[in-house]
Amino acid sequence: MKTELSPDLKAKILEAALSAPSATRHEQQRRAFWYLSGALAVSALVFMFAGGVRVSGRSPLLVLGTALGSGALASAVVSVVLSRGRSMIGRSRVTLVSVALTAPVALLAWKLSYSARFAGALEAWPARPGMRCLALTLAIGALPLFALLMRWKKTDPAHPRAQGLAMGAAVGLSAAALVDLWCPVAHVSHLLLGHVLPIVLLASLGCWLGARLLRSS
Amino acid sequence: MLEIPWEPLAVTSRPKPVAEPRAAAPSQRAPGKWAVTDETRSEARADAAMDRYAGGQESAFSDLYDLIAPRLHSYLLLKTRDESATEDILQQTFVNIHEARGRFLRGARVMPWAVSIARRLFIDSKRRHKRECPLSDEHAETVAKLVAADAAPDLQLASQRTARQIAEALERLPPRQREAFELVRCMGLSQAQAAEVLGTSALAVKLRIHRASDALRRSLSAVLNARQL
Repeated sequence: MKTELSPDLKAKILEAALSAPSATRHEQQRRAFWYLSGALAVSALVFMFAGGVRVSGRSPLLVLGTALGSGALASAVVSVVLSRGRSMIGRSRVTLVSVALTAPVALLAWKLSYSARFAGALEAWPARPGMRCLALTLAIGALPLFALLMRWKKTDPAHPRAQGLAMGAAVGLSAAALVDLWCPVAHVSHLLLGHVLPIVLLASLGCWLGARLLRSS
Repeated sequence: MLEIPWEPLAVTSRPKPVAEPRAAAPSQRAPGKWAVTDETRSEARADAAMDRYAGGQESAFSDLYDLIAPRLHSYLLLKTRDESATEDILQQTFVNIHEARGRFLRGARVMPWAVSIARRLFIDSKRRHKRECPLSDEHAETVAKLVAADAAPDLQLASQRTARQIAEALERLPPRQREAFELVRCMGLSQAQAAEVLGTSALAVKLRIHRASDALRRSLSAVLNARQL
């Protein structure tokens, strides 16, 4: 179905577009590259400043296994959330929300199930309730999340809140995978506070920012 | 040339005027492997124009406008029932496309994205104004013009009456069904594209259209029977 349009309307629209210059794809990609590189560099610095990779008496196999598993989970979630195929609209709300809900649960399940194979790995550390892991994960994840949201700014995905939520969960899971290399504790209460809660917080932040940044109006 | 929005309803000689979704006119058929329709070609040209515009070719914006504005305008006119509101939203849609052009993915489809922006702007504007739009005579007249533009003069009066009834029947559909029906049957989007715009699955869209067609068939059976006589 098509209707006739007045030539004045076209002139008005072209004039409105010309009056506000916008970045081309090349400029936008260059900008996004610097945003993301800067954010990842700061995150890496924060991680290194906190102590970097710490085995702390753990079996190297435990460190490697948990990190590889968490990394694989994070990669899968990131690829689902960020790949759009040939669509500018993004994935369906069900997919995005499912990914955001599954990510922290999957991380917890993986950490507990893999650590259970190693004697003493699940023991409680009363001196380490998880606050430091919480702070470190948030510090590592906040800037990359913001950079990603800026990359998608004003792209009008179908579900900006769900998109932001899933992006936050993906970034949180990636940060938690990195923190796995640093934290020797796998007690369930520590994992909930220090590793799962920051994913939930980053996802919530992503949801809030998504509604504000991803929409064009 | 204007196309008839509800082709099966406008053709009087068919024994079953409201056909199954698969029996739609070629221009309304979902782009498939074997069917390269005018709309498919037009969409491919629009995608290419948007790609050029994202790449920095300023003149491509005018081509993009020519290729997608008429369909967006029709869609918005059906939604707003008001020419000036339609033009405002259309203008804002193009401004938004212009602002986000650098983020347009290489090889992405522009039409579902544009419809999605227009739809969201319409929803925002409706929320802002918080007003209901009862079916007006003007709207019925707009629909009538769209339906009956190509009809012979002696059929125009009957077509306009039918159009009014179609508009009323559409009005009575549940919003989800109406939206899916409008996007696929009136806008000519494929079911997959409509699913993208509505953020649901193609199967859900197919189901909504099927239900909408059933409901429309029921509502309009009296009119259609009269026209077949």
